[in-house]
Amino acid sequence: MSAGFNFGKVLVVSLLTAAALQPKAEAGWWIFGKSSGRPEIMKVFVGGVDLSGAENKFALFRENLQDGNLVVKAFFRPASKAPVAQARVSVDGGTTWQEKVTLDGDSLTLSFTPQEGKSYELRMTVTDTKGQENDPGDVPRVQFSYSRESAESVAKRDLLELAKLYAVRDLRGFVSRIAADYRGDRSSLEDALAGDFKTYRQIDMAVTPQLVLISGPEAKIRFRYNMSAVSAADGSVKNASGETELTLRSENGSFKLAGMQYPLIFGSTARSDENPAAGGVPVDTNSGSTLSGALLPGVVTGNADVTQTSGFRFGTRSNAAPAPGSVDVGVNFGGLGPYLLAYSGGSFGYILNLGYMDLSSVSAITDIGHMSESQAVNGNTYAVLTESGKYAVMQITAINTGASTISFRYMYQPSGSPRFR
Amino acid sequence: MTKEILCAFYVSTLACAQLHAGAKNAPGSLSGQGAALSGRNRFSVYDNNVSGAGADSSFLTRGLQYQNDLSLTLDSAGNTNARWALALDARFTDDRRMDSKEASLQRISYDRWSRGGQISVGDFYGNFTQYSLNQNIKGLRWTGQKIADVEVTVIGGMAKNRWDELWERGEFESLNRGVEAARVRWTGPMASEIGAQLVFTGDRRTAGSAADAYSQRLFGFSWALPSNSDLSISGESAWSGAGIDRQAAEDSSKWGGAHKISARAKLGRWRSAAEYENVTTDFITTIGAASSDLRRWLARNQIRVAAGIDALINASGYRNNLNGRGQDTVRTFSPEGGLRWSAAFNRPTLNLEAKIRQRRSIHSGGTAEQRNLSGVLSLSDQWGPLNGSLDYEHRNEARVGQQRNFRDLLGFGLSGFYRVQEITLRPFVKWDLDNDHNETASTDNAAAQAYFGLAAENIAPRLSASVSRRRSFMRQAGGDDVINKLWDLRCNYRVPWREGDSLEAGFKDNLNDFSTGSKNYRETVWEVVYVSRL
Repeated sequence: MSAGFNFGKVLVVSLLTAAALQPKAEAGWWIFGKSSGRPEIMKVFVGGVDLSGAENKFALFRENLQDGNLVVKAFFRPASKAPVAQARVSVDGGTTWQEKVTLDGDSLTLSFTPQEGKSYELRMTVTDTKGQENDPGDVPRVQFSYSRESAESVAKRDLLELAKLYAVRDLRGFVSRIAADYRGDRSSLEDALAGDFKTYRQIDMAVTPQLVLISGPEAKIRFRYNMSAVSAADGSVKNASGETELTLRSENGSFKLAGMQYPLIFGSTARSDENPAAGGVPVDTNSGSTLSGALLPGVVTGNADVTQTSGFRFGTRSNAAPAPGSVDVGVNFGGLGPYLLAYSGGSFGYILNLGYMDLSSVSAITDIGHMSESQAVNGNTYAVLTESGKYAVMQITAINTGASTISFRYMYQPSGSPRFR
Repeated sequence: MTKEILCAFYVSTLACAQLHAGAKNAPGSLSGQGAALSGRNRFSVYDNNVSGAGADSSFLTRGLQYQNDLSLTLDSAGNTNARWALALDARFTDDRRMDSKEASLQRISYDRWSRGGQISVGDFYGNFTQYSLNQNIKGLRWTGQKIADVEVTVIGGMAKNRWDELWERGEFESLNRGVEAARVRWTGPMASEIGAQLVFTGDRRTAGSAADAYSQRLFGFSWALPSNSDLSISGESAWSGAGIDRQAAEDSSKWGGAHKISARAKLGRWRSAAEYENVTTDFITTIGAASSDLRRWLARNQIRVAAGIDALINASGYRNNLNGRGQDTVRTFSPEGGLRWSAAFNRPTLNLEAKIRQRRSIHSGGTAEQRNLSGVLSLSDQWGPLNGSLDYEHRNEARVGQQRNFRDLLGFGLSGFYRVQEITLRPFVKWDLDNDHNETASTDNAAAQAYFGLAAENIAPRLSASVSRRRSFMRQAGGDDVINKLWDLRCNYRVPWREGDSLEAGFKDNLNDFSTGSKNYRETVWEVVYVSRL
């Protein structure tokens, strides 16, 4: 099953690509018009951060230093026939000017030791041999500070802050911590968050970071979560727990939410046609596969439909009007639906979205959670604990919004065991 | 229990202390080789009590538990030609809510930088591009030194979440995913770049697993044009072929592509950002990130109309079911407009913002059109050490021919920063209201919350403390009313016997009071934490 790795193939493609990429790029017509009568500062980096994409205030961390120093690097374009002869850099808004600025072709470099907590403001001028200076507006007016903290500890703290904002249902506060270039539809996520706070009225959430890794301005953080919430639908308390990952991106001095993977903990009530997660295919699922591939004796399989007015009972393989005690699952196309509902007239009645996976992938249910409703997503598979304490797994094969119908295939274990294979 | 606590605590902290002492003092020790050890150990013991008829609703693990998190970093601190760092994180806990294992290695990594490039062994964040590779990897990464502005990176390893899954069967583990990837990246003047990525992944099922196994070949191409502060344009394309081996169903293979382009521009008073993305139905990325079967675009514009006043004009849209294989196609269009007034009425700290956003979704079925219209008003100001904010949002959520909801969200917050001699005080108060009126059923669901607290630093030498109180009320039509009362107290003492160490204590009392008494439950948590630093 494993993909065969051909190192030679990789090497050849790499070398060919490298060779193909050799042509020199020059600033082209697509650069917005600046006169060529004076030198121009084109790009400025501080600690590896590109100032043109930076917020008005941002923070730099231990990882931004090189050998304990902060490096300011700027690229400029001289005016025609007049090379740059002098460069000046100030990190205190022009009050004092640094002496150790190195000029090298079309770039300048300054290296200095930053002080923690101090606010810096960059000013920069380049002067050519004709005595002409660049436009002061070339360098963005931004302030930056340095923290001896590692980006990793800041990312952990910002994850806890996200969870806290979610728990106190602070929609605007949470939205302010979504990165500008969020992977996925940002407005979908905002609507899904509003939907979460409509569905769950009181939220208690605890997150425990497990693995935080940094690459450039991004952090990948894996953590364990525990959540309980009071459902606005019936006033019952729902619990969910598990592990998931977020991608965070450094912006404006903190790490902001840039991407999520299944299982979703923020925006979990997103509609079926939306996908605020934008993740890859999960390696591990909340449902472990522990036995052989063949179905255990007694496991029932089949296909079925549910509609707004007709739920399904796995034990009798029949449809009936949706009500506790009559059906195990139903669907609600109202509100921001469709939602799958697990009906509870007894002690149980839970449903867990396992994400995009095939029904045949599930051998046993190891974690069911305590949710009684879940967004319906075409192709996704769901674990169900019926109100009589029996397990079922269902995969949606079609959602017909016009006819308010969901079609699915399922397997049902009447013995009460969570194992199917 | 006691043995476990002592074991976790002493092994980790003494190891830290000994290594630290060795690094500082011993001749010929780590310090002699220019190595520096830093680290942190956080040992926590806590007691969770849950009472009441509805105690099963709590997710807390009952009783006395402990958790110990140890982080160590050993790195070369000298002026050598090669820098290196060795990092290790470990967790010990008997609380399954915190970790599935009692003792687990969370991270181990070794990085070495030299003139030849950088090599990483163990945990690292493989981050080529969004579509190709964007995942934590356990394995090996080599990035060569730039030659003629070209940099080559090669990665081999596994996309594993936990180390213990490498030598024993994990709780949720169903696959081993091998990763082999290479990237060639050329960087040019003015932040221009071209990159080519090649990523192979292959899944191998764990013993007895029936999970879908993917075998993926992905080629990606990323680029950025030469840019300055006025204009930048970048993009990425990726093509993926994935074979899916299904244990109890027919195998399948999928080929698809994903493309995106984004631009940011500034011209005079106008600032704009735009993005377009198209991900085909059959594009699968196993270790990247993409939403399949979606075409979407967005444009954000900000125009300075007068001193301190910006007009905001944004719009986004998407459609799914690109190849028509799905049952429904959904087209969504979401325009947004508003004004932001900074330093309003000549008051430097006063900021006002008003926005209106519509969201319209049309399903191919035709009967499920949804329209959401929301208006937001925000105000923030500062009076000396006191910051205040007021937000109001009205939402009209309608599904054509079915139901309509009117939702009002109101939030008010105050926070301050005061210094009284050596004491720093940070009080805050927050109040919000969320009322959801269902016009069709003529019912209301309402939630109100008051949240206030005070953090005080240096209230005595080395001592800081905080207290917060949250009280919320929820009423829903035909259901229980719920009142939640939360007290949270914490104090932190920087111990005099070891600089950098601190002792923390916390108490939390969380009461959920339902109108149906059998649902009531109360959580009381006591916690003591000792944090030691190296």
